Amino acid sequence: MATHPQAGVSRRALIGGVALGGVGLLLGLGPLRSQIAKLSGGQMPAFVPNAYVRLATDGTVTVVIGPSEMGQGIYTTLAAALADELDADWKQVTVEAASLDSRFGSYFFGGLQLTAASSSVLVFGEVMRSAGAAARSMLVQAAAQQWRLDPSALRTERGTVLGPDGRRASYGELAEAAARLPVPKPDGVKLKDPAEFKLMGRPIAKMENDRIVRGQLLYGIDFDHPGLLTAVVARAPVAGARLASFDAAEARKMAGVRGIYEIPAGIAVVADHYWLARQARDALTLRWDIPEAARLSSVRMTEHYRGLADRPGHVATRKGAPEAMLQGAGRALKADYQVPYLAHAPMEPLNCTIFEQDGGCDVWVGTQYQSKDGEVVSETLGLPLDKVRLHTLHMGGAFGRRGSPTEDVVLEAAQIAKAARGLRRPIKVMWAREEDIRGGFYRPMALSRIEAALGKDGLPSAWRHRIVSKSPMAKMPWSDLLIHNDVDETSVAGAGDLPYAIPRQLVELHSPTEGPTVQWMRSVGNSATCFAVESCIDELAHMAGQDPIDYRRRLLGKAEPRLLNVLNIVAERSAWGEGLGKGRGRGVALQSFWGTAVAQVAEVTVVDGRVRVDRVTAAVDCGRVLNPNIAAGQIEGGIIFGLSSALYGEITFDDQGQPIQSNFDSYPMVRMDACPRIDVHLVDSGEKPGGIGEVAVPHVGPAVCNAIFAAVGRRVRALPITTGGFSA
Amino acid sequence: MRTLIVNGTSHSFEAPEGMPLLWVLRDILKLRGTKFGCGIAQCGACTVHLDGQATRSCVLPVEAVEDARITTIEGLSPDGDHALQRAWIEHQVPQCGYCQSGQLMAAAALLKENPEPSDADIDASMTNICRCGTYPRIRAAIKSAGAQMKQG
Repeated sequence: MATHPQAGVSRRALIGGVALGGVGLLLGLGPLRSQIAKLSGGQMPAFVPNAYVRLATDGTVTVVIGPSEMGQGIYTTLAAALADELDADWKQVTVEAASLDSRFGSYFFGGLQLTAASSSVLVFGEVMRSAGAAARSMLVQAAAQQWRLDPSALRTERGTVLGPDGRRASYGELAEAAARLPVPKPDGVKLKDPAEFKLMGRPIAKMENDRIVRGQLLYGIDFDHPGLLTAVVARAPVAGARLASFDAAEARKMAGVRGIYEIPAGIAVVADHYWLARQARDALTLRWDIPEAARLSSVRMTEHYRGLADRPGHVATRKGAPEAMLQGAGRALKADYQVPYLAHAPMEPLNCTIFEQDGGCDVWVGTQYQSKDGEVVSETLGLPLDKVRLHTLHMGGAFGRRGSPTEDVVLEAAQIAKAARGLRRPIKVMWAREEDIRGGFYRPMALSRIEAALGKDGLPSAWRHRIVSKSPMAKMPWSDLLIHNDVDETSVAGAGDLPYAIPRQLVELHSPTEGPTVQWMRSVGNSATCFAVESCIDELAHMAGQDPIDYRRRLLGKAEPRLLNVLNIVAERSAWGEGLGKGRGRGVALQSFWGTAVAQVAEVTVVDGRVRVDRVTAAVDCGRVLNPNIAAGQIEGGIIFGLSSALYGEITFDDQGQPIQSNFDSYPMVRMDACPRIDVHLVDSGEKPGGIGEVAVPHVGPAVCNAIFAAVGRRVRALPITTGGFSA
Repeated sequence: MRTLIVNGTSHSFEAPEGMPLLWVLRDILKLRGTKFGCGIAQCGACTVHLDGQATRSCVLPVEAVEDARITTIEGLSPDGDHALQRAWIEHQVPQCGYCQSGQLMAAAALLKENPEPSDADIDASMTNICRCGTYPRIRAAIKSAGAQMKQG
């Protein structure tokens, strides 16, 4: 699933505004100027050539960025791309999150403001560069006019235009003059050659780091406002439960309680601050009716999934007819691979602040999905969309949870705001960790049944992969872009598009609808398919008596040079083939997605069933690397994220349908002591930018399980490994 | 009326018995650098120093700390220039950054007691959770900072 819709959209359409049929650059700025003045705290920026950059007379460069910052460094990466083309002084660059504004929609998602699919650099990289280059050319033009020189005689450097005779003018000084010039046509702006890059391709530090180490970066949960109240919600213990009755008499009497309201999710308690709201919530008495259909246990779900896997599903991929070859097979394998539901568990618990005021509504939230936020607030409060003022704040992690198909966190806040209208106060809705872990919107559980037959050369000649996994795309507004012939493309990504030369393939999907709400989590369906495919290929290699890396080299052949390259790199850098002691082993996994090729080797030690992951070596080809340090950090972090899933992660349900896990004691995470040594090798192949944020997550699970097999000869077919008799 | 000494300053305020120090810091004293991550002392995002000891403030009732000297991330250094803060910048440690206040406070307590921690020492003391996976860089930054502090 590497195709990006509308990848061919030209720069012409993009430079003026990202939405399809791009609106032209900003001219005639009347009402917009006053809006900008408000945003800038009353200081009128002099020069606003397009939606992406504003330049003030004091030289401050404000870059307006569409995608949301959640630690992946996108603010820094995109601001640097614009600032480089602008030749700005990096010290004077500051970032502002775009408001609800269709010009910041992503063509990847049909124009929605949504940060996902590791697509931000692909979608916005060139737009930002062009915006910076356009602004630079206007500043040069302004200086050229003042100095009566030809623009070609001038050059720019760190926020200054320089003339041939030593004349100089800062961008701040030129801003007003530049603002009077016509904005160049998109085709009239030349972008830098990579050899001229000053910021792009360099390991610049994230802009937020200074504030972070002082405890000064403010996240959604930290937002404050005069008169702020806090709301917490008493929620159903099980999805699908109905509130039969509640008694709030005690709670209403408690200190600082301002109101108690019934909303679809349960009972909202609004109080002066979080602790008081929690205390009052604890004093509520609630009775929930749990219908039989909601009492769905993990045991029953697994049985149901196994039953579905016995039957043909919707076809995602067919090459030839593997069925016949599978039936008469000599050396063959049939295996089930299973991964559980997972909770995203970002470090900052979910929250949203909302205030109906000034004829509209302000919302302050760490969000990945601004478009849906605007929609749910507008609909719930009965306001026109242009009266919803959305302020995207920094997030303490998101991993996909802060971009849910229904934007449930913001929707709930709007419902509380509506119920509590009488208070006329801003309200911050806060979730506790337990509500987050138990609150649904999980990475789907998935069962993969793979049958494969080996040819005489030991390579697979026939392959059938049947996947059972609930579809996270079903409720997205553009699900018709990603669901074709009843197949959710994300559920089969990494399975229906194998890089291996297997002549006969059949990949099928069942998308059951029962069970908890599901959503995409960092690496989406690849998190499940990579485990199944790479574990199975490994089993086949061992069955054929061949080295797992050599086996994959043969299967990749000449058709997959980028994958072959990263595979060869990890083979070398991990010292694959060098002897390890007893109880130690190495395992490999590879997969491409979001346009990036990744291979990983894990090295483990197993003693008395206890697994220690000693080392992970990763090679990543993501095309052009805009910031190697941020990219490496995303790979390291993705590996650790994937490792938590592989070693410990599972959300399971008891026979009342209630999630068993609730907090970090029962839903553990990798900590410092379980963190392996990680070596990352970035390949800058110069290809168009592939994703970085998610691409390293899926491989470590199968790499570790393949390493466990190499170490002690036991095959793990279900994650987390701790359910399979191993400890970690 | 309760009194707390936080970052060298005395604060007087009302707070109900049982209210955790974390929420007093954040919602009454408006010191928001100390973070909420789990509420059960599992993740360490709420780490502060209590008389120099790293402590998880989300489970510490305010009445239990009224005589203690409390240091939060805001008081770790006058201007972000603690060796650890500089090392964090140099090694480009943070991603989302939400856990880093707690990480820094835990690391500061470790280095104060043990300026040259081994990997095993770091493993044992740095139990804070980072969901973004910055552990390798935290480890490197602690070692750097320790070496810096040793040089004086």
